[in-house]
Amino acid sequence: MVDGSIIRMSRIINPVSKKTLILKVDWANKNQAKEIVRTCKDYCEGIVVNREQAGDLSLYFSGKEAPALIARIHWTCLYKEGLSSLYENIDIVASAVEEAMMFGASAIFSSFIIGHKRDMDEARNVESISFLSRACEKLGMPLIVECLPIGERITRENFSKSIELAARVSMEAGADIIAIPYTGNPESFKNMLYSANVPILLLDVETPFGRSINNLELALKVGVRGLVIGEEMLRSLDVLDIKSLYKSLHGRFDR
Amino acid sequence: MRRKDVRLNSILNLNDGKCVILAVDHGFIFGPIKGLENVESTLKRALKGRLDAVMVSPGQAKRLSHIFGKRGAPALIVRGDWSNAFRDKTYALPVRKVQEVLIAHPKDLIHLGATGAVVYFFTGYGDENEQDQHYKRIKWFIENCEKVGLPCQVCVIPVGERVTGANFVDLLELGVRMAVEAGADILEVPYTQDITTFKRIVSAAKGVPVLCAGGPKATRLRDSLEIVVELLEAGASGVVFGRQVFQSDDPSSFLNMLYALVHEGKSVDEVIGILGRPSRLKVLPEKCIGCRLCEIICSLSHGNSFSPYKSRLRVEETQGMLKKFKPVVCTLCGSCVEACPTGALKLNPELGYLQLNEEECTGCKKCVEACPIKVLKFDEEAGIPLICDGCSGNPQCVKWCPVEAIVMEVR
Repeated sequence: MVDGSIIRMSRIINPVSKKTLILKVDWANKNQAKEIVRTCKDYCEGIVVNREQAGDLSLYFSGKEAPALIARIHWTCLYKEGLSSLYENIDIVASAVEEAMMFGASAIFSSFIIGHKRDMDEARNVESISFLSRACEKLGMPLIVECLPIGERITRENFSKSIELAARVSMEAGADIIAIPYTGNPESFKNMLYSANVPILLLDVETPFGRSINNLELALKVGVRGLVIGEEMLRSLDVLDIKSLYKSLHGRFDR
Repeated sequence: MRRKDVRLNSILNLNDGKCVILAVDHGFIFGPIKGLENVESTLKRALKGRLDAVMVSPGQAKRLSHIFGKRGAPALIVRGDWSNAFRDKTYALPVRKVQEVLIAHPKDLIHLGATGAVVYFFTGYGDENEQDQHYKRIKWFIENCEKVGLPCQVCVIPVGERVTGANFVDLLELGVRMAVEAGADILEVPYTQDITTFKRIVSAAKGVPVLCAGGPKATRLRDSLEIVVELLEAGASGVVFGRQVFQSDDPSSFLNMLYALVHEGKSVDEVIGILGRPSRLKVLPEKCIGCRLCEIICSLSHGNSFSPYKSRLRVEETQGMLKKFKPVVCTLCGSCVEACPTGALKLNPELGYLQLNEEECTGCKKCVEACPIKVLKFDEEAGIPLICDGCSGNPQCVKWCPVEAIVMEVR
């Protein structure tokens, strides 16, 4: 049985190499985003944009060779006007996903932050990811969740375990692709990839305990399916670096 | 008949109204824990045993539909909420304040193929306002389950600042009654540690089936099983076991024991007698009539197909005027275990039957070559040897043989 999620997923993860390179430009202003997308669109599978950027940059997402448009939905944005929980207002989540689909998104991108000061925020984050996943399932839309271990409860000792926990919670909630920073421990990273039955991507996010890009080769060896490049790396890399990353991921250079 | 009874009868056994449920949704709260690093491989091992339903998270329900999408598969119960309540100090980010959120509309769970839904109901919140909000959420969920015809299992646990050793049973009883009033179809409760108080809980349920949660892994198998017998005597309708099963050496054997206690009314001694002592198959050739039912049932129970070529035993027949038959079964000589270069084949340390770790098997066929009686075959499609695992202590050939030509003998 083929549903929309399989077709859309094949736009995000290269069906030949089974790998992907995703750029995140949702942090950038209008001009920055336009410049990045214009120069890098041929060297990535998908680009994460916010709602405003999706309209401005629609030209770059048109055509057979264009990268996939990945729509960012911030979990905090779902709690509009002092809403304390989503269960009685599921339409808010469904309409956010439908709106993304209408402007041509091939996937939804959201965050799962672990290490919140208040347990209530973690619970709300799990709630939003889960309801997003349910809404995405109905529309055949893949959900990508980035796991971000940040906050005062994250320490050097629990950093690796926190990533494992966040990845597992996201997977059990229903995420189709998970992006995680490098745990810093090859063994735990390998175990996590073994236990995950969804594709795992390496997230470039700068953490206090080392940047993941240095570990790309190692991560690829243990089975990482790709890389998500965010603000830190996009600010420090040029287009040639992106090309070489794309090449090392896919093992060839055909664009 | 209510419309959700169709689904409810897939969870509770139609004959006795009881059930054995395996919970594998722990990763949603704790992250990867021992025995549940890879849910799919754990489930594949466990589902060789007998059980009525499996409890999973929505994400796993989505990905493991191939396991549940066949006739005879256990019912799928999908979790409808999330809580951090059980994350103690041994985990990465221990709980500071108990939280519980709903994560799906019952309609979404139906969409995932669920036969039932499960949610927590906590009693003992410090803040009465929070307790009220929590009860409203659960009530909303149960009401919506009712609308879509989905049975709702409510897991009642006293958790929070107001819970003490002295009021634990009272809070549990209160929670059970509140869940019943809200419309729960099945209740899951922790064991109260004695039969009298557990009878109070069953009585408070007013006829709604009460299942008992297994809790953390016990040190002795017999202890776990004796508690189950006690619970059944107190009126429980079954058990929900998780860690005790998937953290055991042989999950399918454990499930078979639970099933025998719950559905067949066997005693602990009987169950341990059948399954808990090293035993092997013994053949009585003079009784064999050559019906080959053993070959057929073996292939059916292991591979879901009627194919004697895939059975773990064979029936030989002599040539001549008067044909004689002789079943040839694994003698547990251990030659295959010694020949296995990767250690994928081993003898179960407690019960003595063969076990194969499919992930470690390279398909080298050395075990097949080493088998002195050539009863070990190789499945070319699956790339693994077809070993006799004694059906994890409940051999189907013994059960089905009409003339008792194959029996179990204690080694």
